[in-house]
Amino acid sequence: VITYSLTSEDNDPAAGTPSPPQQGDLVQIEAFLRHWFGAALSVKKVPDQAIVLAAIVRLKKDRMGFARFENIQDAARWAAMESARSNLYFHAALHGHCPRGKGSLESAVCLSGVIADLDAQSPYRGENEGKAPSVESLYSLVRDFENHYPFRLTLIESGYGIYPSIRFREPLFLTDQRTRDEAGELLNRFAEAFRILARARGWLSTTDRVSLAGLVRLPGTFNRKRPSPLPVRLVTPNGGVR
Amino acid sequence: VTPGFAFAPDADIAELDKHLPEAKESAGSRFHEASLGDIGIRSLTEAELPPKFQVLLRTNSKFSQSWERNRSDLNDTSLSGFEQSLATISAHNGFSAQEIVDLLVVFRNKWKGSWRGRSYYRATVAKALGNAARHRRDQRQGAFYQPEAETPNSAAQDASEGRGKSELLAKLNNAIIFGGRIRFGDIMRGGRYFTAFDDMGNEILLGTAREMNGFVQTQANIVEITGINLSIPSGRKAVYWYPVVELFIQIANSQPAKFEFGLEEEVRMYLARALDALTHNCPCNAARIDLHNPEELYNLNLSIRNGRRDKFLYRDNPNRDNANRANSNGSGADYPLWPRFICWSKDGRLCVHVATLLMFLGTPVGGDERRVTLDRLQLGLEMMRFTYVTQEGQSGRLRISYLWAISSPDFQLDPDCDPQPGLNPEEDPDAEQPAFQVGDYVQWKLRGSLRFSSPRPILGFSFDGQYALFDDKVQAPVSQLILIRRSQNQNQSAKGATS
Repeated sequence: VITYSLTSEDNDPAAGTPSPPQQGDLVQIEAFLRHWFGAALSVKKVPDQAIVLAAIVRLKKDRMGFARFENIQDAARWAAMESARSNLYFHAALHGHCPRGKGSLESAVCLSGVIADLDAQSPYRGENEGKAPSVESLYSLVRDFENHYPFRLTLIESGYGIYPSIRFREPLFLTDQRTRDEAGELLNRFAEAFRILARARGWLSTTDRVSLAGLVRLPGTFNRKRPSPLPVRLVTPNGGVR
Repeated sequence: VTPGFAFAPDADIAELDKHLPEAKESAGSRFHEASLGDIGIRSLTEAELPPKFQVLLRTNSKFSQSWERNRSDLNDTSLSGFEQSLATISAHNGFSAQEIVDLLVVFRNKWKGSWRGRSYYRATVAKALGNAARHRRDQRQGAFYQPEAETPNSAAQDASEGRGKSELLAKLNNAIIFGGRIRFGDIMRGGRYFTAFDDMGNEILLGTAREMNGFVQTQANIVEITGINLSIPSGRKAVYWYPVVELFIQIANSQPAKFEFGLEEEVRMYLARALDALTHNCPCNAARIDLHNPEELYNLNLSIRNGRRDKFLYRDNPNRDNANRANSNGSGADYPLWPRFICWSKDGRLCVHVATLLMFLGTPVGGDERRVTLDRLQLGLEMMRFTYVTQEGQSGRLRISYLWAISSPDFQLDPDCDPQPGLNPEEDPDAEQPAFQVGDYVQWKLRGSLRFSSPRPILGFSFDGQYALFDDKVQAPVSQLILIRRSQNQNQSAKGATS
């Protein structure tokens, strides 16, 4: 289903030494996909629901491709393999039919939990103003959240940021527009909780919301923003690897 | 927990909804103000709802039907539509925001609805509480502006206090629906009709009590005379209009009526209305009947036998004249020909089939008269010396007999009208109006009814010549006048010219 192809012309000398063709961590990828989507996929409430993965290759011009999977193992295998050359992302929600490959607000059919995007300053970012000084400093934000709210977070460290997430006890099926709006609102409120805490630390733009059509880096793959890739991985709130 | 990786424990979506901050702070704070506090989403069972819920379920049929999702009168029959209905009814019955949310959550669980967050419940409850508050404000304020602190208006209360006519008029002119655009000087009653006089000298026919309560006819009459179009907010007629009608009636009844209709006059009016309507529906009904012709009587009785109430609901059938000519037996099988229940005979008798007349009077085109009964009609006809005769019609070997009420020969239904009602086809709207002059005696015919108890002389005309002026400041459109007789001066001058 992938919709792009690479040629030798896509090698960019300005990007420095090409990334080593290291594949992703299949075990971690599969573990996470099972954690996030397992319950939702086991209840076949909506026909055509699928995990939508995105692969973005950073070359002269970013190229993006999407693939749909109804099976976690297939998705994990493909992601691990594709991770050797691409940045791998997943849609936080399961999606139905997506005419252009990428999921949209309308195509989202099931949300498994809430997730937000916390960014730290990075030399590979266009704008660093208002962001947390380092990824380590973002862990203080995570601790603030866990002290303030009665929830524990599952964290994905993406190299230059963190995706905090909470899985719902039961997946939320988006059967009508109103439920879809409610789910979108809940994602906004989850990000708002971090925004409030970040504002107290003077980081005004370190928090981004993840919408129903938003993309999140997949743990077990690599962040290939710079020539030497950084692992995207599941971590504990103390910064340790899970 | 997936082996090898320790994921954080799952969270209940309702708990997240409860604890996470609002993305838009204003939404929550507005709700706090409206409902005097925020709401919490609690998972209760039906048994845990407050006792007043059970009372409402027993006593309010709409509430119990909504609870069972069994409302045929609701446009929105989705789960949220029923929830809005439940919220509105319970808000009107004094439930707090939290109590409403509790019952909505139980309701949603009962029908296995999908999850809804606080923003949804806030929106539903805020709408319900807002409607209830607006309703209470309407009830408190009522139909009239109350500049000084007064108790809620009530016509009965005013009557018991014995308020004078001027006070009632002052209150009427404070009606919200008029908005100060019309100021009434007097309200009079003549027969069943109420007439208002405003401070511009206009005479406004308000209509019967039934028409006034229906609003539309009275609204049209007021527009016709004053150019002011009254409007009532949707669903607020009981609040804004009925108290005004009560006041109209109260003011009119506080003084003697201009004239009263007796039973005979009332029945004459019904007969004239029936004749006018029949003639208007089909001009051939203006033809006289030969009571000694069995074939004609057969067709007449056949139309009665085929007569149905529904036929009076069809007024405009473009083919009815042709169809009538083609199907002269009047069976009405292929077009809605009205039963011919009233007609003139060749010797000047008026023949009435009373039961069909009663049926006609109960239809919209017959005036939707609910007060009239068979006894009342028969009594009125007896007062006019009608007698009951069985008329047998025959066509070949077929015979049909009906009992008809028949007047004496040369009966005059309207002594001032020539020809009598129902004897001429409906006037041609394209025909030229007779040129009226001051002194001519005329009748005012409005929507098939004669408005003057007797013909009146014209005293003058408006500047544009569109309205004729009568005594008592009455104005009538010239297009609605019927010439009864010319003025004396004209007759004399005509005689002089002849001699």
